[in-house]
Amino acid sequence: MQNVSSAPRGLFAGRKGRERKEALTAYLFLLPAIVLIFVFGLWPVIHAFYVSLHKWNIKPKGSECIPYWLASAGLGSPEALEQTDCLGLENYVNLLGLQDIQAVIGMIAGLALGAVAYSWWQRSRTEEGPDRKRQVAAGLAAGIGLLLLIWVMPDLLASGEWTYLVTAALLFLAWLIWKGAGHTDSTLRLLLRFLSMVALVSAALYFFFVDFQRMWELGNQDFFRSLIYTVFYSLGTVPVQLSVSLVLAYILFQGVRGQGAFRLLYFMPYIAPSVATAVVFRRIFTLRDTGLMNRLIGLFGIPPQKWLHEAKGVNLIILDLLNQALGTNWAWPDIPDPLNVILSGPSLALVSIIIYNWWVFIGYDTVIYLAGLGGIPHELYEAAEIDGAGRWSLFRNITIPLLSPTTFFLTIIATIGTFKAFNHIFMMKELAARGTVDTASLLIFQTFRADGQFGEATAMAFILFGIILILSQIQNRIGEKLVFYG
Amino acid sequence: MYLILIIGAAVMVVPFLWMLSTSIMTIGEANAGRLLPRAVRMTCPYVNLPKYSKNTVIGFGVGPVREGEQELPTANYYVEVRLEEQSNQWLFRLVNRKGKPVPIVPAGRPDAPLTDGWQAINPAGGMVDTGRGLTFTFAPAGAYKEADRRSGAARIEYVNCCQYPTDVLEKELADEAEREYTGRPIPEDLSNCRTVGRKIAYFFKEFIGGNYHQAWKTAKFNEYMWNSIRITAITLVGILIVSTLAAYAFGRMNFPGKNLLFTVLLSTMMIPETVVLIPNFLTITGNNPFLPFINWYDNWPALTIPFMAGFFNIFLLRQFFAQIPNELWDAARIDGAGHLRFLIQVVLPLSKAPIMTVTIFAFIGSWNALMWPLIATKAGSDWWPISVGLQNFVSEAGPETHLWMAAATISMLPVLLLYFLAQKQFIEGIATTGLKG
Repeated sequence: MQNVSSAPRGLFAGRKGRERKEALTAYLFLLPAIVLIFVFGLWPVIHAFYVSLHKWNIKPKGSECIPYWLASAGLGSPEALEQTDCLGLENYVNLLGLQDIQAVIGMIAGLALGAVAYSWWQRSRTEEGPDRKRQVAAGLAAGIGLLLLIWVMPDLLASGEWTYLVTAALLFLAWLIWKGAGHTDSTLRLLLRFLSMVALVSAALYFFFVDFQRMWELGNQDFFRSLIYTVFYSLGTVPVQLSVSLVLAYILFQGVRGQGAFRLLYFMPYIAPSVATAVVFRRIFTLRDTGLMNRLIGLFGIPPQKWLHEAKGVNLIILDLLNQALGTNWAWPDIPDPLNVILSGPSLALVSIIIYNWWVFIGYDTVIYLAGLGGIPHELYEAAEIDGAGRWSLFRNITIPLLSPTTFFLTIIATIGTFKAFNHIFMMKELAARGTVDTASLLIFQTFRADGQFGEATAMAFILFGIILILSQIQNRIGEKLVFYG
Repeated sequence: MYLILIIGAAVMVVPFLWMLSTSIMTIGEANAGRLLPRAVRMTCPYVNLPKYSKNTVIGFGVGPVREGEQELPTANYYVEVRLEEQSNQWLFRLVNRKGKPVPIVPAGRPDAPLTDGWQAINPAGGMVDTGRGLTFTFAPAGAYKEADRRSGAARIEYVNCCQYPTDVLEKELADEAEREYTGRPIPEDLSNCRTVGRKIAYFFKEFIGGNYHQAWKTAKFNEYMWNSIRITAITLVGILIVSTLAAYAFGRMNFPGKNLLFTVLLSTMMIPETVVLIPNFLTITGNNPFLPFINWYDNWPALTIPFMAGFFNIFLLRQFFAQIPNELWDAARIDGAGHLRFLIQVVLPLSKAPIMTVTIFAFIGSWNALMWPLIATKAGSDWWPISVGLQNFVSEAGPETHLWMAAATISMLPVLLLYFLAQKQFIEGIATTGLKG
């Protein structure tokens, strides 16, 4: 019947023709989206990487990289060699404080090959016995990786950057022990897991005190600071938001009267334009004694603070307050810098922004949790109640596990959100906070907009992108383990 | 239980209420940290002293109003002096801005009826009380110069700042605040202050005529608002056309390379805005080597077209389009409808909910965009949306809390109005997509 309806001849004739026609229509439908996403979404990534190889101030003054490379290869005009803005990877080297970039890249490639080899080796052990091809490939990859490592080892030793390998080895060790613990019985497992945690912590400490120390001294400290502030911001917002909103959603879900009204109000901060609400909070967190926040803490007997104008770390301020309250005179110890930045905690200005962030997102998280709670089958609760489970036990053993997909989703959204956050921080930024609220996005924006350093800014953006990718990978892995789907 | 919920709701709502309340305060009330504006307004007369020659009149001041007399209206007043040749006596009278004499209490005779004629000046100088709320002080007659016929421009004005310098801030702070925030002198003696204006009348006068009007006028908010509306409308239409077409193709059609294309486009959702920021800036300024003809800088395409390139909307709509039963398509095909017709006449009417969600997301995103409009427009641009306008207003207006709050209210009003009108779609749209994502 279908054959009858279509015209018998032409390009679009017959079954094949109809498929062809559908494909063509589909491409036509997709054309605007593809063009737009390509021009403004995909191409920029390539272009950004190219820009990050340059020392561009507003516009390239000398020649760009491509003419320069062509000229160095003997193609094109030799004038391009004379004056050039092409820096290669220097922006990355300067930002991260690396010394021998080739050796480091070689090392990373070697380690990555090792990881690939390991995963191939794992996958080669199928149920029908070992897969020879995969094993050979894995062996090859491991061999090349090892060769690469050996090849770059003298350079790494010379530049002192071999220490990255120690961190990597400790991490690997931690992971191996954790994996091995899964096959043993329970007491040994507990012990092994503990050991694995010890290895993980020592990897982190080693990285911080040896590797990061060197990167800090050689690299761009503003950039590292901004990364630390971003981490503070993430850690300060995500856990608090999620736990508070879980409690709120749980209470709301008990069939409270006026649920709709509460939901309406809770959601309002998220809906209101963040640029405008940030303006409001900028005045709430004012340094005046009569500001709303200062009055609020005044109720608890805390002296007025400078809030958004305060560049001091929050731990220092707590120490000051303790000194005042107890009449003591403890001084903050004199710690060298990267450690001091971390130990003194986020500045009070950043804490203010974190509080703002709670205010905005708690309502959003609550609404999403409510939707998640609505998806839990009621029979489960009934069955558990018949078995005599208490309220806490219901919450602990049914609600939390069954909500884990929602929690996982919210964690990812919130973490990535904090890494991308711009609007409200930009609006709430006071000069007196002296850059202690400049998270990575703000620093990138400033480097680009105020300083006109296109190359440096894109290099920073790429490093941030890399961190986001790694983080979401880690979260995915953990998520696979912990999230309980239905 | 209820207590926790109510505390939560209060925390959520208090900043909004505080914003509204502060936006109808005077600067003094806002700086004093009042939570609510005064229901009844106190006003004090005070004299503003612009530049004037101090040869004859050396000062103006606020004075008491004689019982039964009217206070001088808020305006400029001048003291005219002249030398009477015969008696070699200096005379004065008070005139208004137009040079018309103003009746005052005769100098030295507080009980006499008002006069607007010339009066003699005490040769030793001294203060003259008009009995109508204004005083002025003459220098000794020897210092007078013939040229200073009309001396001084004084103005009586009513300011609503009575309680802020005295009851709340201390003197130094008040002086500082004065310099920083108003530039107006603050009367030291507040005994002349009195209450004027009752609740409702005052409220409307301040609400419509006061801070909102001032914020709206000083920051060109009418222009920003109109820009934002235009930009948002164009973006919305663009997003809806582009993403329904693409979502339909991904959800309901078969073509080679579908999965690959979908994955590639999906991966763009991972890319943070900061990475594409600089290349996109280069593109719209014509520095993209492959698209050198694009020159959108500081114009509307730069503010709208890049926002249409989001894959999220396509993804969201695709999920819904794919669920529409195939029987509908079969029936439509038998009736001779093509894909486009099926999309417009069958699919779109069925997918009101997801389209509403996309609209809401796009609306909020476009209304709230700050980083990109800051970059894509030049300073003082005619295309500034309200977010950039607000940012600029805040950074230029100085810390005038009451005006900031009025401006913030103006800029969030359209969104909140829409939210209250379509709250169900807002909340459910976002909640359900949240779960699927």
